[in-house]
Amino acid sequence: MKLEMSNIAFTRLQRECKEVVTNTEIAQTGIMIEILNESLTDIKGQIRGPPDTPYAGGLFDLEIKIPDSYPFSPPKIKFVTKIWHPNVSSQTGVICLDILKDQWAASLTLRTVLLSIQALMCSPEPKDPQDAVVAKQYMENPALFKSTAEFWTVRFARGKSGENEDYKSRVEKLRDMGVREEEAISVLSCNNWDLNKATVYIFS
Amino acid sequence: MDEVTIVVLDKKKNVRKNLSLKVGNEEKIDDLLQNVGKLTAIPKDELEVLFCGKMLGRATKIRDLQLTPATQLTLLRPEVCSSQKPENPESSTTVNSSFYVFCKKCDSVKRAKLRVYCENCQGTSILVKNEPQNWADVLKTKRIRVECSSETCVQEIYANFRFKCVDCNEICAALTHARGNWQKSECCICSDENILVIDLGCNHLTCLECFKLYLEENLENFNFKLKPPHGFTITCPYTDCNRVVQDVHHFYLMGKSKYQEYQKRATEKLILQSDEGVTCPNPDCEKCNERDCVCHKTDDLTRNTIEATTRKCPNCQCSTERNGGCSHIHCTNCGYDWCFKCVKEWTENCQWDHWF
Repeated sequence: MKLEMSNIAFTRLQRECKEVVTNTEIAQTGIMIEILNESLTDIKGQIRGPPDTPYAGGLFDLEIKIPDSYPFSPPKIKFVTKIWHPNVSSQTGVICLDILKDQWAASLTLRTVLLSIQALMCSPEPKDPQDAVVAKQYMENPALFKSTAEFWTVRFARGKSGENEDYKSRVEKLRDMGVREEEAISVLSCNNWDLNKATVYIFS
Repeated sequence: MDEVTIVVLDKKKNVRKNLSLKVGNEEKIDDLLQNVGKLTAIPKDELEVLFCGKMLGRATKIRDLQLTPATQLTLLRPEVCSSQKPENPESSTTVNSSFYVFCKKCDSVKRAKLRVYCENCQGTSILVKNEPQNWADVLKTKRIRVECSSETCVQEIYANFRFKCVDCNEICAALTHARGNWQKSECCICSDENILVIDLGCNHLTCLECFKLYLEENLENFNFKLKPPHGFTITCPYTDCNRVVQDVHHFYLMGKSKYQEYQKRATEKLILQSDEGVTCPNPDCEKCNERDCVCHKTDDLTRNTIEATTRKCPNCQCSTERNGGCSHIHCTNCGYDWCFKCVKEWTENCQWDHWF
């Protein structure tokens, strides 16, 4: 049982962080990291929503935890900012991405992993979803999926595009009934914005 | 090196002499022949030096041969004097290449020298008919023919190659994937430029230290997969690269005791996979062969817990616990994709109908 990070892990992380922090080319791709502690086990990641996606204009924060066995085990990464995406749990932010699990390789880095997550935002894999409800909506009603994901980007990811007034008013109606904003948005989204179904779901 | 054993095979007079001779490291083969000539009254031009299956050039330095007191040099005086091939006295022969081995005696990776013997008499008084071109030529038998000076070896004779540790002379297993980092490439794990690297043939270089850690990390959860004919082995640490370690001797990089652990766990896994046994919870039990031994009785509490918390992989029957995530299980034991709800192969229906 190892108690602390190996030397390789530490020096490599230092280099990786430096790479992401100082390289302007990387910054242009919309990827950023911030070191949260000296031992480099807690890192904050940030991905800018890629253009031409429902996430465009949003800033998505990620929690990155480095295990002691890094880089032989993958970093544990999840979305802190809520996101409506087939491969990310709308409840917990857990990401379903093969390289974060059994396809991890020691040659991958924080930069490559964050780029892969950004790529996943551009092209979801509904065949291997983390969130079945989102995935189902993505497959069966792409337009609804798109507007929902956009609404989530504005509400949770500091997105700047105009808010869907219709969705906004339905959220307000649930809020008037004493439902928390986050829960209201989540339940409405899961019920394809059907206010009746959402109400029944919450109060039954 | 000061003293070497020399065998003079005089085919002209059909006599054999053993000599022990002092030689300096800086001397050349030509100097040695001159000294032997003085002792045996054979003109030095009539003698050939056989070493490592080769005829040595006159300018070859003694130092480059990496001799030890146990090494034997063969000096051959052919029946017919080889006047047809006047050898350039300036020519030197290289007998060393960069080989790396795991030396069990030193318990570490060492540079090695390649030595060649007659397969029949194990003698060193031989001449290879063609030089080995690749690893297979030296690792497999009956690939390289030799001409042996021994009277008893007249038939078709092949060479036997051995790798010896340069420090302690122990015969060692060659690490075919280890090589010098001549292109000064970065290690795919730590990005440092180290002198010695592991290359599985895919050109993804990993430095020795990182490769060792990589192996150790994988030993902990035994992520070695059965890949015949290589046995339980492991892929290149590089992303998506499927090249595997082709010779399990490389797992000695973890040290002798971890290698033994690897062997033990590989054996256990093989037995479990072929469904031919159970793992005994108490392997040192003396009564283990008796029927009433505790080992033959499954602990009810353990069994109940396992049965209550796990489901068996429908392919390999491996007890599997789902401690989070979705119902899609990828068996780490056999690689089968199955649904934790149906306990059957994973299908698209599972995807939609009972995700959580």
